[in-house]
Amino acid sequence: MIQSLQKNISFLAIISAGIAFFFALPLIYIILRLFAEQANLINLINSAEIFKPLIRTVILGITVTGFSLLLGTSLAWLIARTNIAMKSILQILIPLPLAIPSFIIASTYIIAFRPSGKIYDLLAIFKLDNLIAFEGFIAVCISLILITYPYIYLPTLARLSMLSTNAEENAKMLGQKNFSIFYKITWPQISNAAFAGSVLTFLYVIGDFGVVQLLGYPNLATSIYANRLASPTTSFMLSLILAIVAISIVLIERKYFSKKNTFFDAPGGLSKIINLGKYKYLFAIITLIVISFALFIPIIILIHWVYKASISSELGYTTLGSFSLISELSEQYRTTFNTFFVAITTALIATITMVPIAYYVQRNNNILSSIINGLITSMFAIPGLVIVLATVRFTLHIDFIDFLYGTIPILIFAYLITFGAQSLRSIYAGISVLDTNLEYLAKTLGANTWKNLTKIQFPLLLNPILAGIGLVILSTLKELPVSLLASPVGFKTLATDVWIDYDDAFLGAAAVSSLCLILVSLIFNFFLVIRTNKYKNVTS
Amino acid sequence: MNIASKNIFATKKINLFAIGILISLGALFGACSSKSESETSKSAMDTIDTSKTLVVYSGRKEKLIAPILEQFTAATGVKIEAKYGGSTDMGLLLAEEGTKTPADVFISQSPGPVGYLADKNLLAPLPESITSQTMGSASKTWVGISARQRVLVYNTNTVDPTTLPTSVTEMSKPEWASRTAISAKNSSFQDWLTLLRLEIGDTAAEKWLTDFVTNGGKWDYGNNTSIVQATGAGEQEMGLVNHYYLEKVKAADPTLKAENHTFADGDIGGAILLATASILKSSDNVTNAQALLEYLLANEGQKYFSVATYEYLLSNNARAIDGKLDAFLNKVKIVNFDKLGSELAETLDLIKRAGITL
Repeated sequence: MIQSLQKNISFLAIISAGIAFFFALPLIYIILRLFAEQANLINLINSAEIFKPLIRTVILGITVTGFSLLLGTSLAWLIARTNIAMKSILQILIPLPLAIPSFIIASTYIIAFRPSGKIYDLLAIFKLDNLIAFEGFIAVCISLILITYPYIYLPTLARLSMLSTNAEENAKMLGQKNFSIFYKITWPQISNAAFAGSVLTFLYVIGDFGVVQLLGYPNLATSIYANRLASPTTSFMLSLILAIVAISIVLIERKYFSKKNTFFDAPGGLSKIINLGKYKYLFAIITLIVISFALFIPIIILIHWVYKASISSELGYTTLGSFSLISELSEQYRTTFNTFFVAITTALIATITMVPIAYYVQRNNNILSSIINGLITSMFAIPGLVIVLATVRFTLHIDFIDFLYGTIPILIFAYLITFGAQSLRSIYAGISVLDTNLEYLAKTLGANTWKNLTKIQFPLLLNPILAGIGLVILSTLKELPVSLLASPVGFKTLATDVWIDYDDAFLGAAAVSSLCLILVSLIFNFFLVIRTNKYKNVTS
Repeated sequence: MNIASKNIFATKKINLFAIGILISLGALFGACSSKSESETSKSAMDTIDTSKTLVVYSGRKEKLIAPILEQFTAATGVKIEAKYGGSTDMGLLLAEEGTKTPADVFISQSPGPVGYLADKNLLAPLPESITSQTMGSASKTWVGISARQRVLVYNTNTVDPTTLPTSVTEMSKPEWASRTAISAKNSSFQDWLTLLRLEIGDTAAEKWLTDFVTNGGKWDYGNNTSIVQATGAGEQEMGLVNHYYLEKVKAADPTLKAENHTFADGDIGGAILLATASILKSSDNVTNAQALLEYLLANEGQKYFSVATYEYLLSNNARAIDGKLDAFLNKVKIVNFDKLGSELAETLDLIKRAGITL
């Protein structure tokens, strides 16, 4: 039995390494480009221009990740373990900010919090209007926290719903307070799921371009963008540094934060809901305030853009670029279908490819598994433009596969490289709950590998897998640089529509596409939540 | 101040201006169409091959170019497939695709990305029938299809337009800089700064920007749109932008209190920037590609740009018909656009030396 297991593992290693190779292509591409320019490299390396943006990027990453961790974990705990009011509505709304493109969040915040706007008038009453100028570090942090907390919320919620609360019950009977129970018993059981999400948050933040560009926080991402035409070598150099930061953080997380889980009970047991009493409304209101910043403010501004564009169109203000809500909506039909199709396909392929990798990486702590884990995860922070250029280099310029270039499979491949990390992290967090003893036990009792996987492991992994699928779909829906550049000619997604219209100041049209994007995500989330609830083993 | 540029910043007048061109172009098109056959016999229009689909990569956004591409298809029967994205990203994508690119035509919002491709020898030389129509690169690898002008947008409640400076070089002085915004990240601003360097020299240009920053000029706006929005809302008194954002932002919100001020004739502050069209060297669909470029520069295409994008026309066709336009183009600063690509790196360095972090 041991022998066959070992054979399985080495087979798994080969598959994992094979898949991971594709995720190394963007890095290989960066290095090839830098080699081609090696004469100029010396001039670039010494430059302080690298150090300053690097520090700013890391500071931003750490700050946002810290606050997102707090927010995401708290929300997950409230939803999974308490009788918070309006739970099902909150559950659908909480992950949604993930679906709004960062540049839309940033540009609607610029409008919402503008000095001449209503919110500032309100702040002026409390003499706070001079305190908060919505730009720079603080503004970027707030925006990014509100975009990224779902990366931590989703895996943490998935973990919480796998665990029983027997240990918590016992602690309660022994007179422990709720907070101390959370800190001593719940946290050690969910910490590595939360940290898995934190890595995604950190990578999103260091790779994000929309928010930092619009709200004014110069860092590595803005520097890569600013130099990309004037000095591509500088951009590739900075991209390599971004990749090194990303890989380092993944390795650090694995070494120091991804501790072996402390489980006080077998997974899959019953969990009991804490009665918040009269506070159930208070917490619901606090949650709604967070959601209203992350979701309602952008939506209100978007609706306002549609309204204004319709009004001014009626006044005959525009000529050829006139705005018609009906024609905007009818154009959305095909685009919405495209968007959904690529998002779901990407999520499914990501799941299929990441399950073996998650198993291998979780069950083997060696150099190979660290490399595989680091490569795949860090790709989430790499600029989309680099990923697209790498796919051009490695498809169009290689005979026999050049016919693939400019097709949907290549678009999905580029998405997979970008978002594989989200699937991997979620499944990894799920697998780390599965006790290896459970596998041995099942095998001793005569279950074959297939039976073991389908009857025992898969049901337990369903929530983490769904969380991963949810993350990948919501991220793909709003993805921008890859969708724009790697799409087949003539293929549009909702996000590309939003950006193309926004960039040329067709705010009404951009708002219609954005609202469609949010609506599609809402519907999708609704089904995901219902499905997850059905399988959740909750008693109250 | 010339008549044409007055038209530009008077919102209502620009429509009349456009309509005027429309009518006169229409009249001329009608008059020419019968005798034009002999003239255009060398034109690519006559040898188009409708069985071949033309692939266009466009840095000009879909809403602004798709209608004229559709008109071309309707007029010639040549089908077009288009890919839209930022001009710079498209340029980098085309450079990586190299000679295997599926693209036949590249339309760029600014000369920078086309210059980059021309340097890599990826663009086909254009025939005289196209280059003689309009201004463009000395290497004849790209032509301008429409133009936008640099202006000073100002808030009509707080700024008296009669007091505004006649030269952009004044804008770095404390009384102006402290009330003015730029978007240092924006490629139009960077292109314009290159023009300023070429006009007044690197040292003077660096001093101008450094003074602007130290005298309290705001430089970290994300894009032109947000400067115009902020100016219209009264948060910002003035901003250096392209002229057409005012029209677009007002179309989305007519209540904004903003107008454009044009600097004196020939001042670099009112220089024009070009949107360009080019044909990829690797294209196996050159005749159709040339036909498209001809179409964009002919009456139909030029008519479209003036109305849809609030831009200035460039082609000889349009200039010959419209005297005001000709006068306008003769008075604005026309520069060597070929330098915009190769000088970008130096311009970015200058921006950094002035204390701006990109």
